[in-house]
Amino acid sequence: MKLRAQKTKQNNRFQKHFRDSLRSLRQFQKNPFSSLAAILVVMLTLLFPSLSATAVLGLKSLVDSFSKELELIAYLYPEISENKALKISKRLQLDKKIATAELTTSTAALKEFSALSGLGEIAANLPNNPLPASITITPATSSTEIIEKLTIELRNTSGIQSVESDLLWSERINSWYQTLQVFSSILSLFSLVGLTSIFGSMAYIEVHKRREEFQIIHVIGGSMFDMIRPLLYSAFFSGFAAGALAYTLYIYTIRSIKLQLIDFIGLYDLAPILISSTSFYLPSMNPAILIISAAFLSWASSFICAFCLIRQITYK
Amino acid sequence: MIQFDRVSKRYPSGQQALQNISFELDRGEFTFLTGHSGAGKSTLLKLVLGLDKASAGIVTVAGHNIVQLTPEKTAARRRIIGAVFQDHQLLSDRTVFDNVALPLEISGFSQRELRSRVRAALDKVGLLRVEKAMPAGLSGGQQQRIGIARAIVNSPSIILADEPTGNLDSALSNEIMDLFTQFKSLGVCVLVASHDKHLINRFSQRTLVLKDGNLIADIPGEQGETACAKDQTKQ
Ligand SMILES: Nc1ncnc2c1ncn2[C@@H]1O[C@H](COP(=O)(O)OP(=O)(O)OP(=O)(O)O)[C@@H](O)[C@H]1O
Ligand SMILES: [Mg+2]
Repeated sequence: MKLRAQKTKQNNRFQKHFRDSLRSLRQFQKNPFSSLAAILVVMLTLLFPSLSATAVLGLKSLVDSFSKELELIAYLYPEISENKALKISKRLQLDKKIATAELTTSTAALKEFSALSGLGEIAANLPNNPLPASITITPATSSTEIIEKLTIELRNTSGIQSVESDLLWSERINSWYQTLQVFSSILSLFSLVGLTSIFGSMAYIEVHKRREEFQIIHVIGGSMFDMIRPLLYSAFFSGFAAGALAYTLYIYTIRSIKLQLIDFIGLYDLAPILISSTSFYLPSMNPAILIISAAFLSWASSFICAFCLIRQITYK
Repeated sequence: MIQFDRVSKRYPSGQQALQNISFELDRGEFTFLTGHSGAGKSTLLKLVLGLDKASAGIVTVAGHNIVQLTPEKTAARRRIIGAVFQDHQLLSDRTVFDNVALPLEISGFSQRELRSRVRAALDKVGLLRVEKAMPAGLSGGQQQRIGIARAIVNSPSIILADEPTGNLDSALSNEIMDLFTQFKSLGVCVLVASHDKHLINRFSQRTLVLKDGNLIADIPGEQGETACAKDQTKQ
């Protein structure tokens, strides 16, 4: 007997939810244009922070891939003997900040030069080898700070004449990354505030439109949740739809930008690094995150708004 | 079933609508509530429904002091009451059927049971033909009967009716009153506010008389016994 009562109770609850979800869907059907307009506004508000967050992540992966590919080339004084050069390079290998240090002797450099330039004979006939020996160094870290420190240390090492690095590029991109990160955080915050107020005002309009209905449900014994439930379903569905649309548009935009970006990178002669580097990618957002957070945010803000408003209307 | 213990109601505007009212209504009792316009009839019904709070005194409905209940519990208490409102309180954007179905939806009935109960209630008030119509397209008397159908659809323990026959001719009024007396014989406590003297005389049930917010008379039903007997032969 008790079990049956419990079962009916559950069944009742299911019936209520089923009816109200259907009713809220019918509400969309009744006002397709205003519903669509609201969904589009929400979609755009979701889209901008998602895109900027992706740009930040993309730039971060660019920074990382840069640092990973970063090599320092230390040129030795021409008068340093090959034996001494080998010693310097061995010593550098012991440094914890350095992953590999590879010596290119001046003879090897000349050989390479003549092979690459096609000026082999001229080079072979030179009385003195004009090319210095060099040590190609791969830092053990991708932290620009440490690499900078390492560069200074190398410059002060005896026997090393000069140090070249791509650090400048890395730094430039890094500062872009940091600026964009701040921008993106602010944009996300604004969007969050914007979304909450959009959902809130949607709930506000809906409550006022249905004032009569709530009052009647109230006087015949409906609870707060009987009044609020259809609103919450509407909010959840519109949030869900906006999230799904935003994701579609997001994927489309990312695809177009990705192609554009590869062209752009090509202009800066960075393409070989980036394309060869598997670490460079534009990370795509998980659709579930976007859609569920939109639906949840919509649900939650309309819950809070509607709850307070209906309380005002019915429990004066 | 309903108990008022020295209840007073003063509106925030300063209007003293009820003053020191005490009475008790049992289950299976049919009572009229009468008095001139502005005497406080609707206010009294609102206190029973918990739609407004008494300024002083205790209102007990089905064993609970409703002033002490939370809003949610008050709402739950309202579900055992079928109420007919003076201003109908119908949803203008739902059909007659959906309006009557509302209390059943709130109680979470299955679609099948809901349909059969709504049809039965509409049949009792003679509105089965217009179940798909919108209330705005119906006459005042028809709208009143929608409200009555909605009040009885959920088999309430208490029926409160505020001027339920205000827009009805005498034949329809009698039918509705007969309907209410049927509920009385099922053990339902019925309280009908009305200033229709003819109707009250015709049914001669217990009558509470209000004047300027004071309970000035509590007239017992003279033919209570015979009315009951008449009901039972009817069923
Ligand atoms: N919401 C309100 N705020 C302030 N005063 C009110 C309110 N409702 C009713 N009153 C006052 O309380 C008194 C009783 O009103 P009530 O509606 O209970 O009378 P009634 O007996 O139902 O009258 P009628 O037969 O005209 O419906 C009236 O003087 C009225 O002006
Ligand atoms: Mg009244």
